[in-house]
Amino acid sequence: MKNVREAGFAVHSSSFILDSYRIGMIELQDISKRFGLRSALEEINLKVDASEILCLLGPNGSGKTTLLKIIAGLVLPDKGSVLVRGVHPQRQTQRDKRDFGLSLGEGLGFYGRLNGYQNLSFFGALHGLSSRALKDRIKELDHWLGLTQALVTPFQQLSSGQRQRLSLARALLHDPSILLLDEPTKNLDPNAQKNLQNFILEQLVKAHKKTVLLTTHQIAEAEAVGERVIFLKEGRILKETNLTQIHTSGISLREIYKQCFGPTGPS
Amino acid sequence: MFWTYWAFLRRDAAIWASYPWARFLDILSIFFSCATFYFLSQLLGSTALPALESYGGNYFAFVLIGIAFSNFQGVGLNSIARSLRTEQQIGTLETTLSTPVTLPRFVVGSILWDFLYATIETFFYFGVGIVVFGFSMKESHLLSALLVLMASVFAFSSLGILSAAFILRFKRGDPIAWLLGTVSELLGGVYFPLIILPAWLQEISWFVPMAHALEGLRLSLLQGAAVNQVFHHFLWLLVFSAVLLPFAFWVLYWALRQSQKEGSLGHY
Repeated sequence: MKNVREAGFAVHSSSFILDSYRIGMIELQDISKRFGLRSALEEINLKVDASEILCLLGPNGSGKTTLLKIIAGLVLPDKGSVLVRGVHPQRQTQRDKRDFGLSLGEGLGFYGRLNGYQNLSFFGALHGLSSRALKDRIKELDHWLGLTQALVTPFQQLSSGQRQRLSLARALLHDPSILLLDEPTKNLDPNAQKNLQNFILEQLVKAHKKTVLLTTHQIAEAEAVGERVIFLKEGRILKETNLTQIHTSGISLREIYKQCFGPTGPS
Repeated sequence: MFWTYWAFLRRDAAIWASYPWARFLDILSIFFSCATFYFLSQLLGSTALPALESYGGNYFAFVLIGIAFSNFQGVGLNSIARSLRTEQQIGTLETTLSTPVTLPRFVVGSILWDFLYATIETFFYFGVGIVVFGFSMKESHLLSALLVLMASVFAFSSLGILSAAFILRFKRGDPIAWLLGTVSELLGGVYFPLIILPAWLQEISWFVPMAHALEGLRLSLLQGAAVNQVFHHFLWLLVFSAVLLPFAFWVLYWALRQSQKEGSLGHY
């Protein structure tokens, strides 16, 4: 067992996830969504294989978060369908929701007056985890993500970085096979970003075979974690590429980004 | 299921405990409320007796039951909608609904603590009433009161679910809670017996759940009415709930689906 702790993020392999290894697969067919007159997504077709990490890259308002919410069943598409392991989410049972671990941007969605432990306990219980399992799991997540301080501090007093880690911990609580991460490193300092990206890629995807959909507007992040990168603009897929293509073509992700979005764009 | 409800209870109890001053003031206001109505009853003296004859003739006892149990209507009617709105504001609604917890379970979980707290407050009202102001429960028939209270909780919660559906769909300006809250003050019989209302208004008042709830509770607690004597109030509340509850849940699911279509689940 290897145990490495870097700048607050412990990277640790554990039997918990390995023992409960499951395969996840998502398929989006002709997904379209409008909010009033504005088109949020248009005819999105996408397939994510098990144990793959897919990065949705695009500027603000490109439809990244809407797409994640549609996959999680929080927003219904106007057209098209989402299949998870070949099953439409609307036909999924409540139990099937355990397949997903959702982390919405900026670490929001916690109870400010409760500390990290109380928050995680509550959401863990909603996922059906017993008191004992929760205790063990939170201890494990603390070890991986360095949550010790966050667990005993009211959420409203946590820093952005602590909130992000807590949000990721909540997504991982019930050991889902699919992780939907909306800008998981937003507001983190470069070092913390790098460590969290490393944790997602090395531990979640490579070691524990999670399927990860990650949104970002940072090219550097897409370069760091994205095996496959989808470029989204105004709700449309402009381009799809993967690391192998990038390496063989000699064109950097930044250059592709410029081709898609013009010279001005995110970092 | 128990574990899920226990989690909601623990969450709300922990949030409640994190505001100690507010809690202290809640308890203090119960004492002042009791004192106010006690002295009002002293002022009324025997002049109020004819209208209160069927409740034992004591205005303080009459109104104590009114204010103590009107809390339950407040919880049933407002707490689901308030909880939904708070969850929208702090961003926990989407994360909660992305877990396997079902909508009915979420609704029940959201109001458990409030009902428990309303029960504790009711005990405080009676405790202060008995110890400080001479309220007596010697004649009470507790089983009758309990049955009427349980049926009332279902009736109030059915309305509360409708109210929550409105909040989910339209975010603010819920007319159901407003209407029931306002009408119940006049026609529910919280502060005065319905017999003093004009006959036509009395007829209307019997369509208000609060009127049946308070009438049944007062007869049980003040006159020792047995189950068969308050059965028609119990039955009215039960039928009201049986009709409204499935409809309310249907409307709530509809509102949820509309919000999912609009992508406004977390909006407020």
